[in-house]
Amino acid sequence: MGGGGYEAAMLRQHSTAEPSSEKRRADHTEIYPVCRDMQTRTIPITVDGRWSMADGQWSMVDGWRLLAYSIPAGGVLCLKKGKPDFGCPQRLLVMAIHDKTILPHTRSSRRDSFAMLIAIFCGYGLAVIAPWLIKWLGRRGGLIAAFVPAMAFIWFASHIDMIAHGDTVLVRYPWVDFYAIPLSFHLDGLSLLFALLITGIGTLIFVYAAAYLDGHPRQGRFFAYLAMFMSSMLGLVLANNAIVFFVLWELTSVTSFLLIAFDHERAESRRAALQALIVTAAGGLAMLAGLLILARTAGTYEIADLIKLDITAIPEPTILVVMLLLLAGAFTKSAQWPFSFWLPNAMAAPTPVSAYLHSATMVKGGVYLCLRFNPLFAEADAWMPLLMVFGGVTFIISLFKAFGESDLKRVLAQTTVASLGLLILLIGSGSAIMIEAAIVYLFAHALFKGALFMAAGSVDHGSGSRDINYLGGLAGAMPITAAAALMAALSMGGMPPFIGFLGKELMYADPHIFLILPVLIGGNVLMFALGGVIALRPFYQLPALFSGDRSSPPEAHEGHWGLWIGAMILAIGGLLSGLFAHDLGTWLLAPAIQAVTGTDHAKPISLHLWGGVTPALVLSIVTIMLGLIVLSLSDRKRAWISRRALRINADSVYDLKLAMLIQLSKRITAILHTGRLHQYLSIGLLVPGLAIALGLAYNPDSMAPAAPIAGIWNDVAGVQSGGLYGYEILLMLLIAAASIAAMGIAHRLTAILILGVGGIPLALLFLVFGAPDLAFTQLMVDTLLLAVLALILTRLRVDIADVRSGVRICRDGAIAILFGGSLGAALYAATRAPLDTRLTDYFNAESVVSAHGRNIVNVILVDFRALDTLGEITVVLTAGLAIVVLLERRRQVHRGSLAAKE
Amino acid sequence: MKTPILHVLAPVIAALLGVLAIKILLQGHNAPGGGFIGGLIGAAAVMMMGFLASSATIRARLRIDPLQVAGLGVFLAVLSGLLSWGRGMSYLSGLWWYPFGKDGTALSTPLLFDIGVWLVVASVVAAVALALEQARDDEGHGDDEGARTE
Repeated sequence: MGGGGYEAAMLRQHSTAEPSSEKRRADHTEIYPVCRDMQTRTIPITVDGRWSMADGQWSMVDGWRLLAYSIPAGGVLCLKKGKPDFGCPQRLLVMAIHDKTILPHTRSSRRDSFAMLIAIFCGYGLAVIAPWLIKWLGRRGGLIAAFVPAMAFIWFASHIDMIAHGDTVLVRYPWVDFYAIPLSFHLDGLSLLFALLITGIGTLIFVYAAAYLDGHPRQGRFFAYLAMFMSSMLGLVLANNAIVFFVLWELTSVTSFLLIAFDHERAESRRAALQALIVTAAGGLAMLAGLLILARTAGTYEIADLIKLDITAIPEPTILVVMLLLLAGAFTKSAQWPFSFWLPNAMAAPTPVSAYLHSATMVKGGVYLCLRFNPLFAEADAWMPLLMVFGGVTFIISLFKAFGESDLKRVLAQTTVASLGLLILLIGSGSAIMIEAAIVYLFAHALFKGALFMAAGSVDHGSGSRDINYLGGLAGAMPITAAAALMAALSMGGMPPFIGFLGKELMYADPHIFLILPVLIGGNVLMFALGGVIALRPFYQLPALFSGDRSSPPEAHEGHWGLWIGAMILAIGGLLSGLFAHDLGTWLLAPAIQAVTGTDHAKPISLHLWGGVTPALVLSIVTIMLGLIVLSLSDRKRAWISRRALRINADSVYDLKLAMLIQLSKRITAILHTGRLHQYLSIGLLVPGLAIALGLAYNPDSMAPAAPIAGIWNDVAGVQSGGLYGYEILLMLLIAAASIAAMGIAHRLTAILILGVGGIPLALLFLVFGAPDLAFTQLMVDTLLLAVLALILTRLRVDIADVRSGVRICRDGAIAILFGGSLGAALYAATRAPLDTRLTDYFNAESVVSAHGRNIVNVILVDFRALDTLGEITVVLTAGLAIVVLLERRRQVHRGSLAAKE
Repeated sequence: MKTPILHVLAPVIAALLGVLAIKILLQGHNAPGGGFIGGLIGAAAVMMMGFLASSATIRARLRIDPLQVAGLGVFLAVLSGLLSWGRGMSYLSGLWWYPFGKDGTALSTPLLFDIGVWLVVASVVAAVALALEQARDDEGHGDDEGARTE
């Protein structure tokens, strides 16, 4: 028995599985998730887009009719019961056909599938109501909004047990059926870890933002953006369809743009926002290309299947191109060198955004991509070197740069870039322990960096400054913030018993790391020292640029509890997760590691603070010692180190490129956009005229008359249709006469009137030939155009007579003759070819039957092609708005000049 | 322009055009006409009055900004599509009701859509014409001389 029989059996199983519920819910679209251990095969597609199986007809299986159009092999198949009546509520059965087993254990219920959609997209709903929530309730509104991410966090947390036991949740929801793109989401260990970070830290950020932006006039909008970002990011880490993944990827870029540009009155914010958008969106497009190539090669768009491909079966150049394109996306998103410049600039965003998007979540998108596709590329030759080189370079360079910064947030941003580089480096190292280290460090980083950013914002809020040279001795005034910052910095520096220590231990635990050991040690030393700078400098030391023994600035104070609670919770979280590392590893991190290494069975990992005197411990102690030495060096020495560091300023390269682009478009615009209507019209008529004339000249057969002698006249006179009536010829002569007369009249208004007169016989001609709608329209357009033109002409200060030189008249005449002539010839050629009447026949047949209308023109406009019309009326509205605005502006200018005269 | 003949006839013609515009809109599905043509006729009615009175007067009489009406038109068109979409059909599928029996007047989402088209076309053309007239009114008496001397 072939695949057809198997699938038929499977379908039967589905259609008979729940006979009662099927009848009850006949009106609802239902989703059938992929069933356990499904082993099917892809279905070949015949040319006409229908499905066929090699053995047996597939169009009707057990009463289920195929509703699939053109679906790539391995895509989703839509089945529908009953007649193909598009007008009735449909019941779709969506199933996934895969050419290999998807996952060893996939558990999913319908309750899950719907709940997951809500958990992912709740942010968009919140975005709609957030502005009102804030408007009515102020800061309390923000706190209420925080319940949404909190609920999502609880929902995801309730799946920890299940995921830890090796199950995953896969849901599919029909979305763009025509292109076989389902909204499919896959919750596995890696996605769960990210989802918990996004919703958990998100909750704290919402609380934080409520206090941080308290009283800000646009706070509601801020929450809306933040909520939209959260949903996009959740969708990104859960998406299982490559297209869905891409869409959400770009949505995170767009929401990030909106958030960075939140203070849009500042030029710095606008520039930073645009820069971040251009860099990350461009990377996203490269990633899309990579995903498309990969999906076409593999025949599936489902990421869970893509990463299980056998890479050796794919040509090596293809896999290299795919890898480079995906890495372009990952490196821009995760700010890897040389694309790292946008992230420090993005610190122009309000601090909650920096803490959430630009340290804990969004910038990890690229890291997520690398982790997600690691099972696929792990065997490829170029994967490890690419990740290691770029990750390593980013790691070291940005740490040096961090020493040169004095703005707390920019220091933190540089260390974030460094941490991202470290993560990429660890993934690229390839060994299981390094992946483990990457996951542990990723978790640790999200906690301590989120805490440090929130503490920095709290300092900014309480003291009015973020400059580490100016701040000092704040520990007394802001004790809670100082404590949170200290704990977070200890985790960042890799001190026990914080979770950061475990991440560092694991990095040193791989015996094969001697190649990157200097990079790791050097980086960790600098990281430790920076942690000290951030946490000690503003709180415990004297300000560098302020003489005196008091805290600086003196009026510093601890803010609202919302400002420090988030930092405190995250800092304590870093401590607790270090203390209970073993449980954390078992329940949360091991499933994530399993998803990244691509092994089928979860390997239990053991995280312990004390594992005896190992080489890793010795290296840790060395790192901390060196870090203390660097920290004890004076600020000046640190700045000196930073200046010695490699100085390739990609930021200025970006500016240069952007300036060149703008210059280029200015030049092109200067050529094309002269502001001379006469020139636009000449080009607009000349180019299509020439194109048509050349097309006809290239294909002379289309113009050949039916009979050599007097053939054209016979055609025109319509020998077949019995010739023209006298009044028809009269109407044509009237049109011609009006056109010729218009040419001879010097006065513009009169010429236009005469042309308008020519339009009336044309309308009559349409009527005679049986197109009343066309005639109507022609008449009305003609009349209105005349009126509008008259209005324009009376107020445009143009010469009322034609003052063109003879040469110009000849040139314009030639263009007019060329355009008119070629259009006429094209029409003639078109009528000579046999008319394809398929569409006409269809509309004739269906107009009354399915659209209840006898006026086919109208039925096409409002029913068959209603979407086109919708687009057109939108264009009409937009054009109308533009015209009115332009006229209004002109009026104001005019008024201004009048006032100036007086 | 303000001849006595125009003064007497313009309101009558405008009113007739207005009625005709609605008639053309409503008969459109089965007889020549429809929202587009009807909308153009409606705009012609407004412009007719524009010849008679200043655009400020017309605006005051209309009470509502034509461009807002145009926005309402697009909204109605989008809404008509959502009605069928909300019932599980593809967007903009036609829905038909026969409140007066099978042979009576039918209500349908294509009709709603056509009303949207009518509103957009009529109000955008009217708005543009009014804006042009207003600009002319503002520039006032100096206009004609200016046109001649330059």
